Amino acid sequence: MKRFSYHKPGTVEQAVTVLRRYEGKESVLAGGTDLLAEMKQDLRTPVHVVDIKGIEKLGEITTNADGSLLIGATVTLHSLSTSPFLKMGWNLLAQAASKVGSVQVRNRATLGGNICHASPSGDTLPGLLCLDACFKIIGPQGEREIPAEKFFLGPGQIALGPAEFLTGILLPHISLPLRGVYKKFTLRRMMDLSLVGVAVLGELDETGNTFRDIRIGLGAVASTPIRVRKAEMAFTGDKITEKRIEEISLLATEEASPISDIRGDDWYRKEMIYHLMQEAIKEIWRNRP
Amino acid sequence: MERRSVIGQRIRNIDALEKATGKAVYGIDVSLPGMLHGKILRSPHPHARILRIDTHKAEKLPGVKAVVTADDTPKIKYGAQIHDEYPLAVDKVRYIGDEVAAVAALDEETALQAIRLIEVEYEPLPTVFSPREAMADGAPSIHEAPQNIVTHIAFERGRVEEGFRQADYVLEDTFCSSNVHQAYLEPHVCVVKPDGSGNITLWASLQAPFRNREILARILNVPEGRIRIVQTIVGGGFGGKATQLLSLYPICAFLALKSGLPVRILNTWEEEFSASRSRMPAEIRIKLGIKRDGTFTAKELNILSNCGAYAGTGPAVVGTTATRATSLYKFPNVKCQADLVYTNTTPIGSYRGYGNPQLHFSMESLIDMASEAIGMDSLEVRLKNAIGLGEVSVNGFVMNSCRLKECLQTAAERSGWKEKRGRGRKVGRGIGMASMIHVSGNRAIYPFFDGSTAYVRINPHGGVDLISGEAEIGQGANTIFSQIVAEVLGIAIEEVRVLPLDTDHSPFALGTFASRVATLGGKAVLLAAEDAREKLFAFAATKMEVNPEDLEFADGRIRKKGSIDPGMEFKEVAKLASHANGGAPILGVGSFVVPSSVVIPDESRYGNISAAYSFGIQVAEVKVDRDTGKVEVLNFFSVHDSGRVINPLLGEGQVEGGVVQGIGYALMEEIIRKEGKVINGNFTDYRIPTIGDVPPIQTVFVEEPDPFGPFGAKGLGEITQVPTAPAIANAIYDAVGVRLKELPMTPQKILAALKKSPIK
Amino acid sequence: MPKIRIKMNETLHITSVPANLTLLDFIRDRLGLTGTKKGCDSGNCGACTVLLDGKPVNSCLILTVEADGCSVDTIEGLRQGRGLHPLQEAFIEHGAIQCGFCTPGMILSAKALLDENPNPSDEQIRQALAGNFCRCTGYAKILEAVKSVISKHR
Repeated sequence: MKRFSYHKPGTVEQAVTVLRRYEGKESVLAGGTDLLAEMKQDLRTPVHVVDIKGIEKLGEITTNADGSLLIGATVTLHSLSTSPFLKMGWNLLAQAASKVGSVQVRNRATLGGNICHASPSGDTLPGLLCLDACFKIIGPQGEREIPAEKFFLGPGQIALGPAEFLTGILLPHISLPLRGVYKKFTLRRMMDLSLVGVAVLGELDETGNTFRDIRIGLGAVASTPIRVRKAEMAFTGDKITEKRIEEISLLATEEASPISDIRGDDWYRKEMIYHLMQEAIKEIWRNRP
Repeated sequence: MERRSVIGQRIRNIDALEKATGKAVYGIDVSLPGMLHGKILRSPHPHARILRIDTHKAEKLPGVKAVVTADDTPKIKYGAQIHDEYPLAVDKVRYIGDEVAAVAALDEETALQAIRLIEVEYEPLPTVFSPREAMADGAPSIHEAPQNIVTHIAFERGRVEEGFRQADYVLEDTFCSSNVHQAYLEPHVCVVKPDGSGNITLWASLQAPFRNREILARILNVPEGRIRIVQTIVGGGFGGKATQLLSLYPICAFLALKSGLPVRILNTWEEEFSASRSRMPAEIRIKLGIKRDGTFTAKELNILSNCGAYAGTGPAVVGTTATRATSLYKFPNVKCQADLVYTNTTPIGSYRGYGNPQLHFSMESLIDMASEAIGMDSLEVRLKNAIGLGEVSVNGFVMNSCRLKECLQTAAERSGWKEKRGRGRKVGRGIGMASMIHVSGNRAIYPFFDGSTAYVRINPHGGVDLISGEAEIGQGANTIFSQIVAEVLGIAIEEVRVLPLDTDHSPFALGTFASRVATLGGKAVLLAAEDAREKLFAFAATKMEVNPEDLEFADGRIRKKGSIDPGMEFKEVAKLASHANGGAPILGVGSFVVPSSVVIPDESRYGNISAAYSFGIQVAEVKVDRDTGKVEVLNFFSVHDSGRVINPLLGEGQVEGGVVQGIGYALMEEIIRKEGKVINGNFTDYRIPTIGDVPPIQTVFVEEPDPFGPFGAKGLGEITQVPTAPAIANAIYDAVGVRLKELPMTPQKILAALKKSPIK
Repeated sequence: MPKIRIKMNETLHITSVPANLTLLDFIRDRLGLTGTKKGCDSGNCGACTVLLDGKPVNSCLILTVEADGCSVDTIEGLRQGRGLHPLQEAFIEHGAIQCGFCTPGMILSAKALLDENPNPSDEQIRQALAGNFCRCTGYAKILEAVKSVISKHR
């Protein structure tokens, strides 16, 4: 690893000051499982590394008065996966977090890091789209919020301006009894990047035979995580049958544009979307409380 | 009181404690005062002429103590079998990763900076990446070998055309196996310290230090006696750290000699995947003639394999592919044609099985296909043709012990073969088997001999030292040796001290490969222990005034058999013997070479290359998900005829480890290249099995002592990975009716085959 | 150079380290504790596993400065002159150690699991050890060893 200067600001204001001063030559350090791996390969060579783990509130999960949940950017994936706050629909995020890498990785990797790394296959990303998450950003111009779906611009590309960084993830209050499932398809049973990730968040009506609300997020099948809105709209209000689930899953594959890479070919990814989505939807349908 | 034998006992590894407490010193742990860090500059081109190398900027960088290129070396060609490589490229580079220059500096960062300052002007040459391309007319010449062929094998025994005519069915198909890496956890690492008088000491995790020293001496152009190799504890080898010496080692030596300081070089994992020596991929077309009653009438092989840019151990590996698996069965007629071809990719090397897994995959798969064609259980077909005790195989292997049939029957019983076979297709479950054969030592590897030497030294203070040059690499060699010594001398295993492997003190040994250590190394240890006992008894007998034949060991004492006289203490006898002999210890020497019936094969590759052959069967139970193509191995059985197993705890360890490596080979591992460049050279993209991928594995040892091995032991180290892939391939076919002929059998390939298959 | 305070196996170290020194290299090269191994050096194999404030982490992907104020346990700290940890004893007894390179990391991960959950299921053990690769043993005897410690405790 090349040499660099290490900074550990104690407040977000201090962090912004440092980032501004060294703009273009700095990287933000949270868990380090992506940044340090890249620095070791000289894929990123910051002259200044700004460790934001010194900002206490970024490591907290707080419930707001309006029922929304604010997850600090440096909350680890392990904490997320076991957090008592992530109940009901929000549990989708806990499921996704629990499936990343290994215990060692999850003890360091953070939600903020997973988001800002913006890998198309990032496990927490499809669920965040389904949960209508909003990202809180701070920078020289002050604070702003941006919906998750607008944040991801391409593989490794995010809508952050100079000297800006992610401080928290806001999950809007869910009044409906939404239930979510995250399915991750990997070639090796454990400790693998996803070939396809499927997040489904749904609310069944009283009969349990129709989705009043359904949101579907896909990972690793486009240049960013995506919501498959056509499939969602087509499904809402319909009677749920095995056949309908198959049709919707097929529709979803058409909204995806997977590439072929060393992990798998595009047609195989489409097959896995088709397969995984059915599994996910059926799980919500059949396991209603 | 009858003393309990320690042979056949489940005894813990003698070095397990130091490993469990973090005290064991591996190659990567060695650090010397003033040690420099070396880095290698490697070719970015798969094939190019070197026009100019300018190192002066690197030399000027503060902290750099030495820079070397080929001009700093005697430019002597070397290789494990064919001498076709230089440690640092002279004139030409032949694959991406080929070593061009190297730097030693005060720290790693400086060394990395320095190699970036070395200017190399290349003239790229046309490239070939596949054997077919390389053999075609007009292909660029990599080594001035006609058609870029490293080794060509051709033989026929009997008449295959006649054999195929006699068959009721003739099947032919092509099977492809992939380039996989040993993936030991400790990368290649070397520390060299010069003494200022032209001598060097080298610390490394090597499997064959004496053979490595021979090669190193050749490269450095110095007498072997000027090189001392100290073997550190090895963090995994599996053949990758055996007889082919990576350039890393001589380069480290050149840097140390030039700088006058200790130097360390450690491979990164990117270098491991692109520039260390991994398993030979092979395309095998195999044709089998079979009668309606299951008898094989003929077999023909056409093998095309990619050697990569340098020969390495390729010639012997492809020789193994061409001949070994065939000896499992009685084939009246066989024909074989094999070509090992140079290409501009990473040179291949040895990996557990040494060419054997490749043919096993092809042959054991085709046998299942042939069994289906004649409507017979493949178990019965294997039983019908299995070679037996006392027989000589078509390639000349003499079976002085063989329990293959019994292994087949045991495996069938234990796995529930008859109840499960052909019954699980509705739920995508299947069971499949594959036979295995391997050697216990291979006479063809070293031209001059196969055999071993060991010393058992009973010191004046009564402690017993075992000194052998055969290498412990984690398989438990030292533990097994200790058991043998303890057994013969009637002492506790804890009282045997195995001295570290050091070329200055240990006797010459060929090393750990070809599954030779328990059998050949162990036999030398047995002979040495017996010799020590004889000498000890001879001296004790004079003191006790009895005949040496009447003496025995009992509870740390030497006494007359059947007598109430307590005799003398072991330690006391050792001390007195030393005093009577000017301080000399009792030195038991065990040396032997394999009998003359064990030979180097002739030009047609015929010959009895080993003193003993091991056999067995593996049975895999799988579940295939028809929607995703994913294979889950539910259960695994491995039944072995490896003679007497000296330590079943360690023996099971070899089986379980080999099987899981085999699962990786079968289902998930492959080094992927694009235009000669490795594109998945890391542990995220090159997948080895984790603890989540492992089925319950049941091991059965069918133990019948072999006449040659110590206490009847035969080789076990490599065979365990040899039939795993075809056992799984055959199980997949039983489960969902798709026949995969290309490794690895990934979910995508299986799903693609399922979509084409009419069977649902 | 940043100043740090790290408690390494119950011993407090107060020192200065370069920012780009990983915790792994600090442990191995600066403190000479070579029990923690450098395997893949990229956060995959787990040979570099240490317990950071009790939690298993890949020390190859942590800067030493990040561990300022923390406590680190390595394999050398497990013994503490009081005899072997039951996991060490079990690994030795059950033949779960061949080349031994993965062993320190594997034992620490298993220890962390049992400290948090004294009665894990087979699947939970596998999940806990999924980030510790072993190439020699096929994991079979490692699982046996861990399970034997669990059943001894019952």
